[in-house]
Amino acid sequence: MTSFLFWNLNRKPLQKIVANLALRYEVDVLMFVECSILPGVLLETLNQHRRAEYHYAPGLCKKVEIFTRYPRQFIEPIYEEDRLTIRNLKLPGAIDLLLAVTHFPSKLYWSDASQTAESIELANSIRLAEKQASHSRTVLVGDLNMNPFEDGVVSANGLHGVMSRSIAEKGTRIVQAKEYPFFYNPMWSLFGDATPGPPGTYYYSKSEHKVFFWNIFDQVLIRPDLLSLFSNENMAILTSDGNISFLSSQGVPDANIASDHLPIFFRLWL
Amino acid sequence: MLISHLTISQYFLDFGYNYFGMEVLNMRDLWPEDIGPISDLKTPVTILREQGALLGEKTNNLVEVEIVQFEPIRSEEFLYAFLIVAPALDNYRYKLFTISYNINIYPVTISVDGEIRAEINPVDPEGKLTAESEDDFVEILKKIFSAKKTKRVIGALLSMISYGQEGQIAGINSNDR
Repeated sequence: MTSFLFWNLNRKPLQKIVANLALRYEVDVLMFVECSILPGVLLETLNQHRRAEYHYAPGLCKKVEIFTRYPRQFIEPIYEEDRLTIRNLKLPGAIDLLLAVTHFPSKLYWSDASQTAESIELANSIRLAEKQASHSRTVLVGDLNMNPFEDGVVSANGLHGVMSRSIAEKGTRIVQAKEYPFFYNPMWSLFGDATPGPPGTYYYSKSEHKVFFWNIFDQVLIRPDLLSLFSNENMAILTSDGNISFLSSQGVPDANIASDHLPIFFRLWL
Repeated sequence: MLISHLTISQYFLDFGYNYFGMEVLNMRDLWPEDIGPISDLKTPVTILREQGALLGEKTNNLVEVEIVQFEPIRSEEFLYAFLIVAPALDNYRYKLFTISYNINIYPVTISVDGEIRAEINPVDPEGKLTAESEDDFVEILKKIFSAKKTKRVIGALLSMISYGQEGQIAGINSNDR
C-alpha cells in the first residue's frame, strides 16, 4: 500500500505536526499547498527520528510542495503550470500512475463562474498529460476551493467528478458528441455527521442567507482505471496528529492550533 | 453505405441536379470571386508558432514550444495553450499561458499566471490581459517572454538538461521564497 497525505498548511510553521502525521500514518507521499516552511527545515523535521527517509521532490510549480519516502526520481514532474503539478509516480514493481496536485484559485478572489471556467482548463491540462503518458491512471488531489457538488467539479467538460463508483466505472460519458472521462469523487461520502470523521475539511460561517458551514474543498478524485486500487475505507479527513487536535472546542478547524483546512489521507494498493 | 450515397449523388449530378434535388446547371453563383484568406492577417496562433520556433532556435532545440488547442470554455471560442517543452526531460511541459479568441480574432484574451501578470501590469494584477489588435498582442507577448518567471522556467529547464536535474529545481524554488 502506498499512502498519501494532502494538506493546505495556511502558511503556518506546522513542520512538527506534519512530522507527527507522517510518522503516525506512515505517509509515503506528502503534498502541501500554502506551504511557507523552507524545504530544508521541513525535511530536517521529517527526518529527525529517521535516517534521511524523506526526500524533497520539487518542481517548477511553486504553489505545491511534495516530499516523499521514495527517491524523487520515482515521482518526476511531467507537466506543470502555475497552480498544477502532474507527477509520474513510477514505483518499482508497481503500475505507474499520474499524480496531479493543484491549489485552485480561492473563492475570495474568484467568482463561481471563473472557477468553473478555470476547471475546464484544469481538465484540459490533465487530459493532455494523460495523452502524453498514453494512459489515464490519474489521481487528482488538491485544495480545489470548490465543493464536490459545484459546477467546476461536476461538469462533464470540467473535472467530471461523480459521487458513485458504479457511474465512474462506465469510464466516459458523451455530451454533444464529445466524450469526457469520469473521475470518481469519494469525498461525497465524507460530508455531514453520518461519517466517522468531521463533516468537511474547511469551515466557513458568515451572516448571509446561503452558508454551508462545512465545505470539502480538499479532495482526491480518482480515474476509473485506478478504482481497483482504491477502497473508500482507505481515505479519511484527519483531525489530529495523535498528540494535538486540529479542532477548536467548537469542533471546527482552529487556525491558531494548526491550519484552517484539515488534512486528507488516502491509500492506494500500489 | 458510402458507395450508395455516392452513386445516388452521381445519378443526380448526371441529370443536372445536386444531391438534394436542386437544379445546379442554371443556378446563379452569388459568391464573390475574391473569397480567400485575408492577406494581411496573421492569426494569433500563427504568431505563437513563429515565436515558438524562434525559442527553439535560441536554445538549440533544448527547449521548444508546443501550441495545443484546448477545448474552449465557450463553444464559439478558440482556445490555445502555449507550452514550454523540454524534449530531453521526457518531454516535460510547462504551460506558460493560454489565449482565446472568437471568429473576429481580436480582441484576444491572454490568461497568464498571477506572477507574470503582476509584473506586466502592477496597477491591476488581477485583471485579464486583452489584446485589441495584432500590435497589442505582439507587445503583450514580448512582455510575457521577458518576464522574470518565464526566464526562470526556461533557465531551470536548460540547467537541468545541461547539468542534470539534481538541485536545479530546488534552487529555483528556494529563491522564490
